Parts: sequence; structure tokens; C-alpha cells
Amino acid sequence: MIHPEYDVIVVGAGHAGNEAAAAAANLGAHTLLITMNMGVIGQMSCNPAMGGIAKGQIVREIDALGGYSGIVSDHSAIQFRMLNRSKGPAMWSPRTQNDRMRFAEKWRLMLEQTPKLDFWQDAVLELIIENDRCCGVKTQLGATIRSKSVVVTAGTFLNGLMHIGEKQFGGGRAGEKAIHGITEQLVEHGFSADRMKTGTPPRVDGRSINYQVLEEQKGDENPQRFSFTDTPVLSNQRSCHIAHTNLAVHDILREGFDRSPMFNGRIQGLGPRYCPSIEDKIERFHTKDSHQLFVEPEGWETVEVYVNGFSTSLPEDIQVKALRSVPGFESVRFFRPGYAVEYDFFHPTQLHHSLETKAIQGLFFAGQINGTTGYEEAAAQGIMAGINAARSTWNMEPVTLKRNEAYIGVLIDDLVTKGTKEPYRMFTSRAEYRILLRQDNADQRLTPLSHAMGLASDARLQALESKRARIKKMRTSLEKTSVTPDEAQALLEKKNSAPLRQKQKSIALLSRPNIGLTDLISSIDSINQKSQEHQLELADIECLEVEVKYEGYIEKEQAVADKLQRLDYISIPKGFNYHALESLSSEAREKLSEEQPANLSSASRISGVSASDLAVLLVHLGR
Amino acid sequence: MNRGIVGAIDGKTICALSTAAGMGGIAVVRVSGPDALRIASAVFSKDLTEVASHRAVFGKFQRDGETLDECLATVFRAPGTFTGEDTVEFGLHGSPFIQSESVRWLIDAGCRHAGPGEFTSRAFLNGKLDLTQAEAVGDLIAAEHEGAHRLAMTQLRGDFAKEIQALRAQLIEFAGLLELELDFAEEDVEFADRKRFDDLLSALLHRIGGLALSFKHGNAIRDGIPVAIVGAPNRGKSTLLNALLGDERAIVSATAGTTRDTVEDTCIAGGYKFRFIDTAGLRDATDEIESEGIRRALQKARSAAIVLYVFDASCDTVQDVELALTSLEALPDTEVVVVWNKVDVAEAPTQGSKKQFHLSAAQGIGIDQLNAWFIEWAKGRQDTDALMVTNLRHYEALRLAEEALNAARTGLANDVPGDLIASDVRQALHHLGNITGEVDPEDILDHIFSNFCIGK
Repeated sequence: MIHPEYDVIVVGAGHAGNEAAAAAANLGAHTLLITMNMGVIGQMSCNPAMGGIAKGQIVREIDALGGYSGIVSDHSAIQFRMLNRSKGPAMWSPRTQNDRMRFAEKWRLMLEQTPKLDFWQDAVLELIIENDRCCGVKTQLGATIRSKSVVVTAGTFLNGLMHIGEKQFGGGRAGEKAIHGITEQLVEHGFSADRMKTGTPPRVDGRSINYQVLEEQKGDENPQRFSFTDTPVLSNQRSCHIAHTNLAVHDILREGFDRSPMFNGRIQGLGPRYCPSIEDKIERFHTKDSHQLFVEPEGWETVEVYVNGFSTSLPEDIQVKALRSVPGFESVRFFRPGYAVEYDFFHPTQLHHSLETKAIQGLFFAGQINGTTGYEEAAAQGIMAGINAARSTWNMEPVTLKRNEAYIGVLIDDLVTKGTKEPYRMFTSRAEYRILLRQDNADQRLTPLSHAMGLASDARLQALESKRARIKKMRTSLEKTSVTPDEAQALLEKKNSAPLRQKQKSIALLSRPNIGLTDLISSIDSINQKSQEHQLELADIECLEVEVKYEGYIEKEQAVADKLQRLDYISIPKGFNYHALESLSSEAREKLSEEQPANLSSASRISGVSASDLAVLLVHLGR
Repeated sequence: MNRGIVGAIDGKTICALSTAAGMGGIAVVRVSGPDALRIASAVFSKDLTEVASHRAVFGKFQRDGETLDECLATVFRAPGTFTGEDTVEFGLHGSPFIQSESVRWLIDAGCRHAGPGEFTSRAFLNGKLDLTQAEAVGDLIAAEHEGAHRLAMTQLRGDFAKEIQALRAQLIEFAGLLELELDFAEEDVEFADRKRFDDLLSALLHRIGGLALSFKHGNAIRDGIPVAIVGAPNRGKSTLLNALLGDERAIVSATAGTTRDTVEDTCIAGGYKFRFIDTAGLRDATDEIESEGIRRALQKARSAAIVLYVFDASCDTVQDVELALTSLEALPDTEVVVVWNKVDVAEAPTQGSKKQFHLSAAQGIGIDQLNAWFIEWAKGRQDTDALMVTNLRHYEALRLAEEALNAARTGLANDVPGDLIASDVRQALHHLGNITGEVDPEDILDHIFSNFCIGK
């Protein structure tokens, strides 16, 4: 046999698979990453960007846990923007535009440099399941590779079916074959699977676009980074552009409706409502005369351009004709048409919070196979599945994040307790504790926890500790030092803020709207001195400012979170017999038996479980 | 999300009626939690914080100089209590009015109303019950909750539920707009109009304030059952009133009515509060203005639940009674009672169509019978008592929603960013949701998806 027995096998090398493999190997598990094509490890199948609203927070969380997505994104970024700067700190969301090829290359190199991680190019056709335990995989090349646990990150490949107009062909991604057999095998083992649909827009030749008539969208003047480590900061950036459709474009698109797989019933899977195809948009919102298109460069050197917002599965001739009616695209040349892909997913309510399947021990799912959409959502599940797959091989308790700890916690909890019918994407509004789950404090929220389990490095923890120390010192200085009316006059005048009548503590000035810590540092000598003395960094300034300015709101949410968190500590033993509890409503008995929640707080989020059912459980479980 | 049970362990001090709701000799209102002694002292005439465990203290249930009842407060100190927490039990008179009002005062003083089975849950959490007991209690909780739920559903006045639903719908719509501009800021979406939002908040606050107030003052049990005493001059109306209010009964307040020609006194009898309306203006009326006085008195009487029409056994006839009752034009659900006064002087004629009493207000003859009848009547008319408990929960939820909406409004006025305002709006939605059913972030997202075109 050419393959040793592994601790963890990860099937699929996309965002979920890569993070899973890295996490498992970094925890010390002997890990094998199997992909059908070593040439496309870490492929961005959709738009060449990472982060954005809610997703940017997730990337920072992955980084704080010791994942690679943030580092890879920083190294391959061609533009950085902190979205939503004008809103409150909960909404600040980092986003990078990435060089698609460099992104994949950096992923591959980082994985190659990860000890204990092996690679194998092959297609997995079957899982080895013995006594309801997954102990390896069988491949197309005829290999039988055994392991203690398996993480399946199949993306859109399970029975993937691509649609362009009336044409349809098997495949998981343009130019790549689909996988058949795994869904069928798991369904035989009692899993319930369903279809989903997603789509991508055409990619075109940037040299054929007239940028003169498009609106330019530049990167931030002071670009930041995703990673809390010292990844490079961008010194120059590429711009994106915004174009607009019009009624003529919509009319042309409508001509193709009768040949659209979306409208003639050929596509069965449910697509995301929030990432609709252009034909969906004009059909559902027919009163809208124009839709925005984001013209995104695919990299530093390449001329390929991604037309974000024009996702479609209409026939190519319609795609070309319609796009050519968009101002700026009159003579556009296509590289690849847009297409829709349908694929199998497994209802995520069949998972534990650890992402291990309830039915088969040692089998973990992450990414689109669980009904999510988005690189960040996939990577987030990947890192958690990797962590727990590794831990399960040593019989260690799974690590799960709570809803008030991380968006990752919200994501997984939503999936496993509520399930999803359409591709699940993260929004900040899904988080009850949005003000706590900020991008600036992801390291404070997660690095200590990750370090304690052995994933985040010592260096990460030390960096966090010194950051905290610097912030604390600066805060104390602001609390102690006073500012005289004279010192503050120039700044306050400039900011239209009321002048000081007498000496005031510096921290009081920081509480004023419009007055930032950077302003104070740059215009008041004593504060500037302190900031230099404490060697305050840019990220520290942001953290401290948020901490002071939004203290009241943060405390309020923290209080609500603390209140709810108590339920998390009441765990429900595995295999708890709900049917023995006559006092539970019959619906609750069914649902609870099916979902097997890990604790009372998860139980409380299952629909059909009432307050009285919880009271009954509480009473039965005791403390 | 289902947050009902969270209460069981949020560490707040809770209170609730511990004896069965409704009429009874005595009502026990229990306060349990870390602040039990302090909060209980706030509504008691004596300081309970220094009282030893398992000691009862006699005093008044009062606040701001207003006394609700005289009662016994028993202090139980943790851990030797049913719940394992500091506990105070008030033994009050068993009237629905006192039951609901005392709990409301405690909520105002900082308690949270206990959830179903919450005392037991706390007891269990604090290791005060073993599993066998817990099994039994579990069934009980389920049964209790079902009952409570059914009651809440059937007794929720339709218009109230509808009103709350409408308020929530408006707020969800706005929360949707807020979330939209947060989560989809990168796209060309419409932004929430701050002015419209402020108008909506102010309208919501107005309605919620009104609803909260209606629970304070709205129902007859709270306000006292209105009893009008009418009759021609010199029939002994005031004497009857004084006899009814007699000094053995506690006079809660003696406030002049809103219309100055009547005097209103309230008293509690048999656990019910009665508000007597004496049409005193008639007493000194001259002939010319008497008709106007009578007209007003009658008008007042028509709004009462009970009308005591007083006749003089020594001079009035059955014809007088018939004539008077006809001109009264009482509403169909007004209980009209014929009172023949001065039966010590003359024998009263018999008049058959109405409930009648023969008494002498001056001599105190027949007053007890009349009083007993009042209590019987009130019992018969009493809504199921659980309604009030439900109401108290609603009252609490409305108050919390009000607080959150006020915070949102302040934030709006101070140009606070949308994510922070949204945090208060979500709290408000959560509390309103507690009345009509739960709200989930999914509600808001659904609203967004069905109404706005988003997505790159």
C-alpha cells in the first residue's frame, strides 16, 4: 500500500478544504489533502475578492484562530477597502480585491510549507464506512486510503450540473468534472440531500471596455490588512469600476427568458435571494430601470475582468448582446460566458456543532456541501471542521464557537439548528451581538482560545498581549492627562465641536462625535507624546477609539449576551432520550431527538421548542 | 429565537403570585433573587434587609405614601429557601386587585415577572430538588404553561393583539430598512429616511405608552367597580354611602371625581375595589336647576356598572320607582338595584322587576347584605384571573420596549450610526415579540429580500 493511515483526510482543496487541512495539520494531526487537480488549489471560483460586509469580519476571525485565508488574501491583494467607514464600528468591514492567480499560488505555497500535511491528486468516489464510522476513502485511481476521520468539502462538485442557456453539462466548475456516487452512498446511509443553484457572471477582456464612461472605485488611501500578523501592506492598488444596466439591456435579456434554465424549469435547485442572477433581478424588480455592475480586475497583470452583478445562465448570444448595450461595454469581448451550476448539498441540521455528521462518526462536512455560499463562509467551516476532525482522532471534546464569540459561531449554529433552504450567506443582521463581533477585536475574541487548544502560535498570542498592554497604557494616559482650552481650540474649531471652557480629561474629548484619537494625537502635543511613548500602532488606535466611543452600546450588548450565555453551559448529554420526557410537547420531542442539540442554548433556537419545553429540559438536566 | 427560559437563570430578582390566582383568603406574592430583600423593602413600610431569616414582619405594602394593603412579610435568606435564593413572601389579602397591583409595584421596583415554572427551575438549579421531584414538576410546568398559553391566546383582547402586531410590523419594516443600509451598503439601495423613522418611533412610543397606561388604569378591577348612588333629594344617599364606606373598611382614597358635581370614594370589600359615585350635587339643588342636576346624575349613573337607585320607604310608591327606572334609561349591562331606605320608619312596597334591598342606612340595617351582594356580583363578573398575570407580563414587555425605543430615538437625535440604533430597535422588537410571538433576524431578512433588489 502506498498510503499510510492518516489521522485526517480532507477531500477537496477549496477554501474550506484548505483551512481544514491546515488546521488539522497545525494541531499535529497527520493530514492528507486530496484534490482532483493540484493545479487549482485555492481557486476563487466566483469573484476575485475576499471579505466585505460580515464576510470581512469572518476572514479576520479565521486569521485570529490561526487560519491562512487572511494571510493569503493580504499577499495577493490588489486593492483594500474598509467598507462602511461612515457607519458604526460593528459595520466596518475589510475587503480586498485579489489577484486570482496569486491567491491560488499563495494558498498552495503556504500549504506546502505546513508540516504534517501531504497531498494526493485523485478523485474520491466512495467513503469507507464501517460500523457507522468513517475510516477513509476510495479513489478513482483505485487507492484505498484509511484515516481516523474525513472532512468532505465537495463544493459544487457533487452531481454538479452546469447550465448555459439550453445547454447543460455535468461539471463542478467550468472545465472541471463533477463527482458522482458520494451523495448516493450517503443517502443510503440515511442522509437527506437536496439541490442548490449558484451562478457566476461572464468574464471579459478588459482591453475591450471603455473605462472613460465608468465610475472609478479606488482603494483606501491608507490600506489596512486582514491578518493580525505582519503581512505586507499595499503600496499601490488597482481600481474597480461601476457600470449601469438600462432598459435596453433588460429588454434584450428578456428575449432570452424562454431559453433560460431558470425560467423554463430546468434548474430545480434554489438559488440565493441575495445574489440573484441578472435575469432574476429584472424579473423580480421590474420597476427598477437600472442595476449596478461592478467591474473587477482579475489581477495585477491580467487583462481579464469579472463583471460582478451580471451573474446569468442565459444563452451566450443573449449575454453578449445584452452586455454590449451597457454603456462602456459596447465592443466587449467575452473570455468565458456566465453559467449556473446546480449541485447536491446535505441539510446541515444533520450535523453536530462540531460539523461532524450525526449519523456517521468521524465524518465532517464543510462549505457548500452544507448549503452555504461564499469563500469566507466555507473557509470558516473548514477551519472548525479541521480542528474538530483532528481533535476527534485524539478523543478530545469538540471546540465550538458561541454566537456571542464569533460570526463563525453564528454561522455554524444557524446551519445546524435551523438549516437552510437557499445558499446561506452571512449578514451582520444574523448576529444578535453585532456590536461585540467586530473586525477590530477578532484577535481579542479568538486568539487566546485558539492558542489554548494549540492552533494559534505563541507569536500570535504575544502580539495580542502587547497590543492589549499598549491600549491599556494609552487609555490610562487619556484618563489621567488633561487638555487645556488653548491646546484643544484649533482642533475643536476645525471639527465644529464646542470649545472647552476649562481643562478637561483627554478621554472626554474622545467621547465627542467627530473627534477621533488620530485627531487628538495629531493636534495635541501631550497626547502625541504619550502615543509615542506607548508605541501605539494604527490598529491600537482603532481598538481604543471604538472601546471609548461606543462603550455604552458595547456594555448593553455584553449584558444581553452574558444573560443568554448561561444556557450554553447547560449541556445536553449525547443520545439524550427525549421520548422518555412525557412533559415535552410532541413536536419538541421529535425536533430535539432529530437535532440532538449540544446544549440548552442550541435547543432554544430550534423551531418548535417552546419556553416550557426548555423549562422541562432545564429541570431534567439540572446544572 | 426562543428566549423564554433564559429568564430562569439570568440572575435577576423575580416575583410572582405564588398562590392560585383569583379570590382567596390570602394571596402570597413571592420575591426571589439576589435583590429580593432590597426590592421588597422598597414596597414595604419597614426595612427588611436586616430582618433575620424565617422571620415575619407585619407592616404596610406601600410606596410613595400610598398604601395598598396591610400585610405580613416573611424573610427567607439564602440558601435555606425553596429557590435557594434570598426570598421574601408577602401575605396579602386575596383579592385580584391586590394580587395584580402588588406584583406590578414590585416590577416597578426592579423585579422581573417570573416565567412559568421559574421558581421551581431556580430551585432545581440551586440543587433544591431531586430528580423524582423534578419529574413531577416537569409535568406540572408543561400543564401550567399550556393553560397559561391557552388563556393568553383566548384572553388577549383581539384589538390589543392586532395593535401590537401592527406596531411590530411597522418596526420590522423599519428595522429592515436599517439593516438593509448596513448589510447592503455597497449596493444602490434606498436608505432609511431618518425623519420618517423618528416619526414612526414617536408614534410607536405614543401607542405603547398608551397601551401600558391602559393596563394601569384600563380595567374595572384596577380602577374599582363603579357604583352610582342616585335618587331624589333626601332619600338618604349620602347616609347610605357613609354606611357602605363604614370605618371597618379601609378607605383607600377619597378623591373628588373628575366632574365636580359628584364625589367618588373607593373602598375594598371582599378583595374587590369599588368606586362609589355619590351624585352629591343634587343634595343642595334648588328646584330650577334640579332638573339639570338630575340629568347629569343620570348620565353619570349610566356609565356605572351598578346603579343603586335609592327610594324612601316612607313616601315613595311603586309608580315612582317605575317612572324613575324608565327615565334612567340604563344601559343593558348596567346592574340596576332598587334600594328601599328607611325601612325602620315604614314598610317598603314590593316592586318586582329589579333586584331590591330593604335597609336603613341610618340604623345600619341591611347594609351587610348589600355588601355581601356586591362581592358576589363582583365575583360573578370577574374575568378569569390569569388575564391579569398575562397583563402584567405584557405591561413589563411594553415598558421594556418603550425603554429601548426611547434609546433608539435618542440615538437618532444624536446622529448615532445605524448599527447602534439597530441594536436598540432589535431590543424593542424582541420585547414586543414576547407579547405576540418571537421575532427572529430572519423576519427582517425576509422583509429585505422580498422588497429590495440587492445582490451583485
